[in-house]
Amino acid sequence: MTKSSGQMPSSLEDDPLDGMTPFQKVLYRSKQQPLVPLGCLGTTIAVILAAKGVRTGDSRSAQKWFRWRVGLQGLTLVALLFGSYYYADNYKKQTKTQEELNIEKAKMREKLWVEELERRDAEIKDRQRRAALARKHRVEEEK
Amino acid sequence: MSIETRSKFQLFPSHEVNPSPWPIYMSFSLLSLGLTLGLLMHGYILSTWWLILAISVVISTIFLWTRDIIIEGTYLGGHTIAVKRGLNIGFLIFVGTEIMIFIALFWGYFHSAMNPSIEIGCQWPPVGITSIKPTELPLLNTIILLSSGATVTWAHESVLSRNRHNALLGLFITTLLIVIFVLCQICEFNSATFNITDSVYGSIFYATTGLHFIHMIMLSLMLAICTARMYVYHFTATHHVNLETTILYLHILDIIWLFIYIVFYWWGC
Repeated sequence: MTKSSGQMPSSLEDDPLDGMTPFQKVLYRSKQQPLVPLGCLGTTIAVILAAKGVRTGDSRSAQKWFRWRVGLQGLTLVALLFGSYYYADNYKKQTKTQEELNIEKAKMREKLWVEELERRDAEIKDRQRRAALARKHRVEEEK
Repeated sequence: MSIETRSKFQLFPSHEVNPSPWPIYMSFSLLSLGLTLGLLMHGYILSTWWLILAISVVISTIFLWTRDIIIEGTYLGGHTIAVKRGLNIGFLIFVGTEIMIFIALFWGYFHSAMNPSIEIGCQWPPVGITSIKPTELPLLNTIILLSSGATVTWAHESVLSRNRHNALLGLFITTLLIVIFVLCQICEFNSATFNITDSVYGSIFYATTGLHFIHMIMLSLMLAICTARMYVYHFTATHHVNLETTILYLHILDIIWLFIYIVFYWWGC
């Protein structure tokens, strides 16, 4: 089985795209946003018809299909962008998780460092206490 | 009509070209370009000056050959309706071969991406490859290309409706947009974290986007020439084969970019 979006397995358990083969991924996204492949198909057909217009010397028809081409490609792009933002795709999730992980890591380090400082502080205090005790003992012995 | 008058007219629609050195010249310059490119990439030639020389020879041959065609078509009236039809069919066959090249590259991409092999870590993009974010420069590039499609359609409409000023303006803006696209691509290639030798991903990515990039450079030259020819009154509302084929070329490269954007940048990241 292929792991589609590899590096951080623990934080991506809820991702529907995880564990899919790329072909299944393409099918999944095509079903999720059917406008994108349909738009591509429409754009291609418009260009083919425009090419037919150019070949037969019918510039007016070519012009009409050029307009369709630009319009359909624009719609495809809009569908792609809005669809992806709407479904908050894999890529965005992954970067967000990465950021969160970094913050968590930083917090953990800070906590560990504070603990370390406290431990050192306690050690120093302990040493001072023992030194004071030893001094007291010596004073008593000299007496 | 006397024989003397009749002899001044061409009695058949097809165009008989004079003996020309350019086809054989072009063949050898392309052979030299291909060989230089291959030998340079595999380290047999160590100086890029040979490549620059080969490219200059190809470009100058194109220039000299198309200069002859422009003289025949625009000044000598060799481009009759039948000849125009032949030129258009020839161009469409050329476009067909272009599409076949890109289909082959997409095939290669899907072959590697659909079932990633164990050598690249069974995942796509391969382990260690950071793919280019589709919402940054590539999105801007897509928008630039889409707007160039719109401006070139406006220029075409202006040519058909005999509006010289708008046609010139449209063509100029389109040329500018394509040049901006080329510059953006150079930025993207320079700032990418992988190169053409980095696994099958880098190879197929740069082979496809690089081929498209070279086409865009050619397209910007073609558009610049169309703008210049428009400026010196070479095109009429009914006779503009060069312009129409260039516009068709732009639209074809635009949809190829749409597919590259969706497949390579959006779904492949």
